[in-house]
Amino acid sequence: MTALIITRVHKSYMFYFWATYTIVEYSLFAFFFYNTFKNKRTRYIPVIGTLLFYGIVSITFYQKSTRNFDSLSASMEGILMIIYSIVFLYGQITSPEIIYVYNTKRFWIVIAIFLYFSSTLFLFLFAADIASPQYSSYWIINNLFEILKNTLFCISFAMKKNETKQNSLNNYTPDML
Amino acid sequence: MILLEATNPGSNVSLVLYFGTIGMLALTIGLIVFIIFHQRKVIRYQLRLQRMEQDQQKLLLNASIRLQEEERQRIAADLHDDAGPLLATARLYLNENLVNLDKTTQLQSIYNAKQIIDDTIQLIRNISHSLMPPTLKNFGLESAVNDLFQKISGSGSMNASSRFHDYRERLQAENELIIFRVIQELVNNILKHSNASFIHLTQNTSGEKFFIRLHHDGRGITQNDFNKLNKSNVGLGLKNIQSRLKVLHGKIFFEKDMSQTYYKVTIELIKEEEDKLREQE
Repeated sequence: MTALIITRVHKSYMFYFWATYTIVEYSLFAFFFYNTFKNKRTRYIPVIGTLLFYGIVSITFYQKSTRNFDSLSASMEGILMIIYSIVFLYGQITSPEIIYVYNTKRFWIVIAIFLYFSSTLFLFLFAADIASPQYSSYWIINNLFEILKNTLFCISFAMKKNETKQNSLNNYTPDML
Repeated sequence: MILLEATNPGSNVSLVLYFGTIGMLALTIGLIVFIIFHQRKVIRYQLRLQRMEQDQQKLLLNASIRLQEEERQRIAADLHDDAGPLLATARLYLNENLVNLDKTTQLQSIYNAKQIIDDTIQLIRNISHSLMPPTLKNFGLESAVNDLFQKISGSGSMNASSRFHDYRERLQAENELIIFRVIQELVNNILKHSNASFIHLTQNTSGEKFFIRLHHDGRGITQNDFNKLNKSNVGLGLKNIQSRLKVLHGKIFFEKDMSQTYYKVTIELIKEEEDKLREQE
């Protein structure tokens, strides 16, 4: 769908298109992480990150780049998403309540986000330095990991809803591991 | 294609992008794999701990059931072997009254029956006292312990003394009984196994904690020995101590004195826990 829109958007509006896409994507993922973090202290992280992100996006909007792609906002989004994912995974290994991490829907969503943004981070960082003709050949990295991300999202959505409830320590014996 | 561009000597950006992406991907995958394996390890450890705890609970429960059964058997034996024959003999004497009409013989047999019934009453009283010492019930732990230690000292085999430093407010009756039984068991063990020449018991409190310490100069055990015995099938008395203290959320420590001459047993209770138990009831 994104590709379809790209082909129809006029080149002068591409910057705004990508910037808007980044803002919407970031806002949804940040909201997801905010809901996922149960600890009050860790909940501050996406809040502070979001303020920082919107600040940077406002600056990039104000100093409109001549390039089509909003590299700074996308890179910032990538870095913040990686931080949130690490915080989530750290929470999983320190929390004694949660048993098999891969049996939860949220884990697969976070893994999808983590893999996608860590793989495309360098692409977004150097987007401004890559010449336009070469750019399309590099964009394949984004496409590949976009597919992987969506596949992982599908795995997560296909999982049963109440699986996290079954993961009590009492339901397992050492032989099952 | 990306690889070709990356290997192009003029393209520094491509090289950084190529290796950066690969590096980030490797790091991410590594981190995810580490988290999954670490979590599995933690779960295994938790399950092992849980199982060990269950085994320990089972051992304690078995010990407590066995001890209860032994106690029942002892009471049954006392009643059957001592009280039973005594009452049967008294009955015989009374029966003789019906057969023998001679007044003197009748009086003699009534007197004998009375003596036997008195003995039986004393015997039943002893059994009842062994179940619940009257001193403990009426005057509290301090008096009961002093009484116990006086009896031990009176036997002449060992010098036993006790001192309660801060016991103005009595604990709950049930808890006093539990502590008294623990002290009895410990003293019994010292008498049986340690070959000690003295036992000294002290009681004191520190903040919310209530301590009872027992010192003796015989052969004793340390905390390691206690833990080992608790996990093995022997040491029924020690398991019983452990399960009794568990009811009070108390702790027990076995150690050698600083001077390495005496063995010290410390029972630690938290007064708050005692208050909570009181409130629950």
